[in-house]
Amino acid sequence: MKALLLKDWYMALRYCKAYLLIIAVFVGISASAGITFFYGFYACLMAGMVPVTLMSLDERGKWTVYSLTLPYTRARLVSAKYVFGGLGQLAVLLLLGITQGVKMYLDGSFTPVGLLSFMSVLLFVSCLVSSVNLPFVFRYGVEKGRIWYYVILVLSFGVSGALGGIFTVVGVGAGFGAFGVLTPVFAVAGPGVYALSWLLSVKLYEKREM
Amino acid sequence: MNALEIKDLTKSFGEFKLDGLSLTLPGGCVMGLIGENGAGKTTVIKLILEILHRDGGSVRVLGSDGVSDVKEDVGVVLDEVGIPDGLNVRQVGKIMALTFKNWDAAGYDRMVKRFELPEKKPFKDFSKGMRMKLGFAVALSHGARLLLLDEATGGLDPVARDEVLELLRDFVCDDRHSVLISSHIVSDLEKVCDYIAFLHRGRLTLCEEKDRLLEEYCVVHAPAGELKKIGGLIHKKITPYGAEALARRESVPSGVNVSPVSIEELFVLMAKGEN
Repeated sequence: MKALLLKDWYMALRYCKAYLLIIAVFVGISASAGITFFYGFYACLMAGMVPVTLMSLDERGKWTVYSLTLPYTRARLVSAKYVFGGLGQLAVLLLLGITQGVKMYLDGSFTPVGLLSFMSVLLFVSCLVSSVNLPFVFRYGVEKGRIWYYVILVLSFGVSGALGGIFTVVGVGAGFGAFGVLTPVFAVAGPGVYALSWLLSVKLYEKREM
Repeated sequence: MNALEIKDLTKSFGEFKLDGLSLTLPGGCVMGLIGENGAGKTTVIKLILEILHRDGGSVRVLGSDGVSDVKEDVGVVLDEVGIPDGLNVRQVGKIMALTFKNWDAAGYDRMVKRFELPEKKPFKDFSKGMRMKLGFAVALSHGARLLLLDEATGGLDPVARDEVLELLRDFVCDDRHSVLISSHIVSDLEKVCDYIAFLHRGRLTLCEEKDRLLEEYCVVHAPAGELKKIGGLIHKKITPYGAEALARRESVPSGVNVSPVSIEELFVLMAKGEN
């Protein structure tokens, strides 16, 4: 696993710098703009795209074939991408949590429940997008999986736009505060769905032929 | 111990069918897998490595059922190598050190120096020859006992090919080491192989010791009319200047003009005969 994570880290450093810049820009906008959820979600989505981009590079360079000749199991190859993507999304989520917390504090809308709700909804939605997307990519490859990815993207933008609209009207703190009751559900469901997707991807990748 | 034991290996996809392939690679030997493009050479190697799932048959690698348990002992160089484009030689070394329990960092460094590979240049900027050499450096730096090479000399210039063949000769100096190498550059295989396996349209048409093949087969040269009187010919080639045919030496009557056959001629004439 360490070897695969190191390999992905080197590849991300070389090829995914643009994502870092975009994430930084969206976190910044999220901290200053009115419609915060959309930009926050977009930053998480970018982080979730990193493993897909890495898989695309793997496929193009034939690493997907070569890696199967090395002492890695298919389960480990899948897991490395889930761990790498998960850690990336978690880092962005924490960054967003800090910036949103500061913003809420400054505009007087800060409540612990509001912030936790914001983070749990973001966690859930970003986990959901990756969870739906990755099994297709592992089963059909990035090229075919990409079509599915765009469908998910459009749907998720619709949902995030709607949520953003609601929170603009009622205020971020109040908006997420309304989700307060569901915070634990979102917080558990996101990683839960991600874990199920992980297992499914392992099963699908076991069957895939290169 | 046999390095490879393949029995009744079958695999179908689309119109292609690998049809009940059986072969054995004894330990300490080099076997060349020869075949035209699309004959199934890469499929066989991918099935051995479980990159493809077989429809039937069995594969034993270094005495183990399947390759999974012995991947540490198997070095692989594929046609397109497969090392990620963005990595340089140093980074590949670090990744492989975490990948293989028996990684020989000093051996890898020696190999990198021997091949004069640039340490900081990304893999994507390597020439085809340099890519292959890095593939070999990795495959030979973790104490592999079996090398599986798929078209590993294809696309290399003659000097680079000679270097690779030299490496293989060094590798099999240790009689615990074995090599299965697929190629359609038959002259390369003729130089290093102990065994030759001919694959034609998914069928193994011949698998024999190279020296025995060279003893058993010959090329018959005779006027076209006389060739018809000789039985057991495998493939005839008739030109305005005469005719020649591949034949088993034992079936050629004495007095007929014959010449030794090279593995390349044998392969070409056999493939044409099968067609």
